Amino acid sequence: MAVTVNFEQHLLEEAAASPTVAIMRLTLEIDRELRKLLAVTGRLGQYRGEMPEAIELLEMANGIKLPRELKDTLTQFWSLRNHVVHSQVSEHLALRALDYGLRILRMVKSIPRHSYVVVRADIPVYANSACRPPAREDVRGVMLETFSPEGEFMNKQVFPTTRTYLPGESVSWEWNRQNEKGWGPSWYQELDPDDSGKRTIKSAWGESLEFAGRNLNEI
Amino acid sequence: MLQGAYLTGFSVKDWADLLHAAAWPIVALIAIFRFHSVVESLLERLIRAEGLGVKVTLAKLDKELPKAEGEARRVRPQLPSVPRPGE
Repeated sequence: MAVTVNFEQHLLEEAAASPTVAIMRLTLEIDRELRKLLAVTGRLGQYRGEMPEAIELLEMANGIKLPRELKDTLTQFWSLRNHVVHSQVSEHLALRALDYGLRILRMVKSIPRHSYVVVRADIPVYANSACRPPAREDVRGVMLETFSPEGEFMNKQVFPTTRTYLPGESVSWEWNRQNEKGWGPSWYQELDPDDSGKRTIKSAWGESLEFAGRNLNEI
Repeated sequence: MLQGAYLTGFSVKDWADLLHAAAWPIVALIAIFRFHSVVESLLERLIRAEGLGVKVTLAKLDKELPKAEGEARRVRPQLPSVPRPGE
């Protein structure tokens, strides 16, 4: 929330000098928020940057009909942004547009979403259920915890990846679909939190594509 | 020709009046089709000068944004599925 307050404060200071520049910056921020929202639903790859289109993708991702007003307000703000940026409008109208834009930004941020947090990264994975070396050389495991929109823990899963992750990172739900084969059944060792010498063998996945989620702050 | 005109019950003067009455709308339609881009750009300039487009959009936002703000928080997202090879 502190980031939002700082951003809004900075934007309002900027608007005093140039409302048009402030509107452009705000549009970019709304677009970024929409991208983050799409990133956790697995639909970011289909987004081409037209704001109202983002709502259609969210509907496809969630398999539900979203309220018409959500799409309408984004369409209207997009049209307003184009008026302010490409036409001569009074400063008063531009500032009103900015006020609506800030409300739309807060609205997009308030849309509930799941989150995926990296718990363990760079996990050696094995092609045999006894975890006999050697571990798979072309892939490692990344363990993700899924949280509900209310922040409740939902599940923990290991996925194959060739990317580097850090524990604690909040990541997007993205997959490398170019590697169509993925990897077959794999296992990993989990350390016992009470006894560091004790290891339990667990199934990582039956078959899976490569997880390619990005740090949400980089989207 | 004159005989034909009388046969339909119309005098030459009636035909002339009819043509005269119909001519203006036809000329106006031809002019609109011929110069529609000029008319469009004049209307656009007028709307821009008055800021009408912006005012209409702001009025719509005024009406719909409060409802959208309420609805946004009520969205129930579904967990995305884990894609499998070959899907």
